[in-house]
Amino acid sequence: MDTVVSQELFAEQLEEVRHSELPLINHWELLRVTYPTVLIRMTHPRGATRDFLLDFRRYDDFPPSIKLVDESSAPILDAAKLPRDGPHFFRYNAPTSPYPSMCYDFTSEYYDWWHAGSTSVWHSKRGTAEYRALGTLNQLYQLYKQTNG
Amino acid sequence: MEKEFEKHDSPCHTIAVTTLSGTSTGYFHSNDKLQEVIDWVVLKQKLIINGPMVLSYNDRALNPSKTIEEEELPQVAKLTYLAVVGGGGQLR
Repeated sequence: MDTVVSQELFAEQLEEVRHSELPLINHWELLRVTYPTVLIRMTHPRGATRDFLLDFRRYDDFPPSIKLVDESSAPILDAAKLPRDGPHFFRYNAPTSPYPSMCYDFTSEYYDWWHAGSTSVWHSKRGTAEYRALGTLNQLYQLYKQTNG
Repeated sequence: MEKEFEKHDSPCHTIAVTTLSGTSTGYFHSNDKLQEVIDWVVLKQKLIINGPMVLSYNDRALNPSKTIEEEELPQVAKLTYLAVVGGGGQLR
């Protein structure tokens, strides 16, 4: 992984996020953007808010790691505190998994845990709008909306 | 492009459509179908459509075969046109 390339991609794609109207329309708040991480708060249509921590340190060999975090930016580990109803939205891959993750191909956990060895899927998609940083945030939000908040 | 301005020379609705490629604003009549709005933004932003998409207003999916009036959009409306997200849990 070339860190310089990763940093450049991060800066370029976060600029796309800042220039987009999607954060305003969907009520996303960028709480902290410091390479390699983005801490973003998303508001559910029912009014609840959740914070997500995206880590781009392996981008774009892999998509960002995505964690659902608490007020102190630590991953929420208690399954009872996770949103419900969303398909494959922050679940434990195995009892030994260090934190709940999403089984979706725009997260690094998908390739590390859920479908190890399938990185060719990512390589075929990473250049498309849906899999750049803005598209990733949009996919995350669309799935969050399907939960109970 | 000139034709586009001609057609919309007496605007009733100001419609802004945000996609992953940006935001485009156009002027439409109440009886224009939302499919026309979709066709316009696809052309305007040179979008490449790879799968199912949805046009939404305030998190409400709009029916492309209905008119702006039938979907009760306000005079000024901010819409989104984004890919449908799904298919988790499997190799896509």
